[in-house]
Amino acid sequence: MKLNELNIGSCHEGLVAKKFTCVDLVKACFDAIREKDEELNSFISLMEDQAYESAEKVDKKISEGKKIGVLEGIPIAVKDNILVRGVKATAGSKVLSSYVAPYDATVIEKLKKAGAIIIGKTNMDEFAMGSSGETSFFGITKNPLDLTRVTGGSSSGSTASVCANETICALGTDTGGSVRQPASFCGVVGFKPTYGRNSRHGVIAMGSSFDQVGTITKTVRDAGVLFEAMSGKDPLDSTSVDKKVQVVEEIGKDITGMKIGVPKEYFGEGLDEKVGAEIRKAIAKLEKAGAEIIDISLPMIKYALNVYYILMPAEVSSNMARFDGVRFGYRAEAGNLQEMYLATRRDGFGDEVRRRIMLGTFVLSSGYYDAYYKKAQQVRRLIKEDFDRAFETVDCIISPTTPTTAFKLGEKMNDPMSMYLADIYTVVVNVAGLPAIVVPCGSVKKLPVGAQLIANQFEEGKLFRVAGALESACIK
Amino acid sequence: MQKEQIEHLAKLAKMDLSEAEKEKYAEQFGEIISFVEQLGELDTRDVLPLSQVVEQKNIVRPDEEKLIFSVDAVLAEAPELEKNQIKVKAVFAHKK
Repeated sequence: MKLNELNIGSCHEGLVAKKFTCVDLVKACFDAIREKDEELNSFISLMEDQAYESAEKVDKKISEGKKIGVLEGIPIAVKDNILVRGVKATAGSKVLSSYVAPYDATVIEKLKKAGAIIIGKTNMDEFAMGSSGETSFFGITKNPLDLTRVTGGSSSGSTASVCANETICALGTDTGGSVRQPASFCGVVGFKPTYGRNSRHGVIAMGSSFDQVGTITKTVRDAGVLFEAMSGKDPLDSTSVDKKVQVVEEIGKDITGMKIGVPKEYFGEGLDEKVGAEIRKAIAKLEKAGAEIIDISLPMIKYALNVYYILMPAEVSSNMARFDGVRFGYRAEAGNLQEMYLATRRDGFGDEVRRRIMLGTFVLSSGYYDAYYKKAQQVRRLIKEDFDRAFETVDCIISPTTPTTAFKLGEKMNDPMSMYLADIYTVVVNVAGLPAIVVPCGSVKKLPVGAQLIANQFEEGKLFRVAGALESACIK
Repeated sequence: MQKEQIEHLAKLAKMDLSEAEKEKYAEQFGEIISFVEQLGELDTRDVLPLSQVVEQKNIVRPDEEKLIFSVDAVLAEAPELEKNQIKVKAVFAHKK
C-alpha cells in the first residue's frame, strides 16, 4: 500500500513505529497530486514548502524519541473557504481570487496545535453555493471514480482529494449537505457535527444559521479524531457551544438494543430504486448487528427544502453584501463609487451566487418578509419538533444521502431547481441543526452509495457508535 | 415574476444585471418561488419562528478592546491605500 493511501490511524502507527518518515508521507501525497490533479482539479493552492518544513520537525521529534499526538504529522487538505494565515482563501470565487488570509480560522488553529500538516487549499463551488463542484471560478472538479461525473458539492476538491488519495483527510463545510453529498458520490466518510460544535470564526460565511465545518475521511474513526481535535467553545463565535465531545471511544462498541429509526418520507418518490435497495441492505446489516429497526414518520421534512431555499438565500444575500470592492478582494475600475460597487459585483460573482443574492433580496424585501422569511422560520421549528419527537423513541435515524448516484457533468447546470433537489435528504439535517455522518455502504453500477445516519443535537456519541458498526458490517 | 420587479431587486442588492439575466431570473424565480410557496399549506398561526437552531440566548461578553488581527495584514488586502487608509472614489460626485 502506498503511504498516501493510509488513513489517520495507520499513518500514526507507521510514524511511531518508524516504518516511514513524515517527509515520506507528505511526499507521497504531493506525488499523487502531481500525478492526478491536472485531471481532477481538486486543489486551488498547494503549501508544499510549509508542509515539508513541518514534516521535518515531526521527524526530528520522533527521532529524538519524543511522543507524538495522533494528528501530528498527518497531511490534511482544507476547503478554500476556511482561512489559513498567509495562504490564499478564494472560496472558489473571482472576487477573492487574490485574497490572502490575515489570520487562522479557529478550527485551523486547533488542528495546527494538534500537529496536523496542511498540504493545500481545495477547490469548491463558489462560496459553497452548488451541489456538483461545477460553479468554481477555478474550474470544475471531476469525480475520481468516473471522470465524466460530478464529485458533488460544494466541498468538491476536499472530497475528490480524499477519494483519490491525494491527501489523508480533509476539511469541508456543510450548509445543506456540502460534505455529505459529495462523500456519498465519492465513496468516502463525510461528517457534519451539531450546529455550534465547531467554531465558524475564520470560515467564509454562506448561510450563517446552517454552516458547520465538517470532515471528509477514509474511516469513521478518522472523522472522530478530527472532530475531537477541532470542536469546542470559541469566544470568537458566539454560536459555538461548551459541551464535551467524546466519540472515538464509542467506535467499536456493541449496538445491540439501540433503536434505529427509518423515516418513510425518505424512501418515497424521487429516490432511485437501486440506491434505495442499497440503503435497505445497510439497514439489514445494522439489524443483524443487534440494532432494533423502527419505522417512523417525519411528516414535516417534506417542507425542508422549501424552508432552506428561503432562509439560506436570505442569509446569503446579507453575507455577500461585504463583497463591495472597498476593504478587500477584487475591485473593478469605475468612474465613481456606485459604479465601482456594481462593476465589482458584476465581474466578481458567478451565476449561482448572483441568483441566490437576488432570491435572498426578494424574500427579505418589504411586503414579502412575513410571507416568506417568517413563515420559513416557523416551519423550521415544526421540522425540528418532528425530530425532537422522533428522538424520544429512537437513538439514531438512517436514510439515503442522495436520491441518485453521482450525476453526469453538466447535467443539471442549466436547471437550478433540479440541482437544488439533489440536496433534498441532507438539507433537513442543517435545518434542524443535527449531526449526521455518511458511511459508504454499497454501489450501483460501480458508483458508490452512502448511508446517512442522523442523531439528535449533541448526541454524536451515539452517531459514531452506529456509524462504526455500519462501517465494519459493510467492510465484512 | 415581472422584469420590473427583478430590476427593483437588483437595485436593492447593488447588482448590475444584463437583459438576458433579467429574463432568465424572471423565469427561474417563478419556478423557485412557486416551489417555496408550498409552505402556504401549513397553518403556522401559533408557531414561534425559529431563528437559532440550538436556541441559545443572550450570549454576552465584556466589551473590551482586543487585537485579534494584525492591522498590517488586514490593510495589505485593501485594493487601494493612501497614508495607511483605504481609498475609494468620492461618495458624492461634483457636478461639472
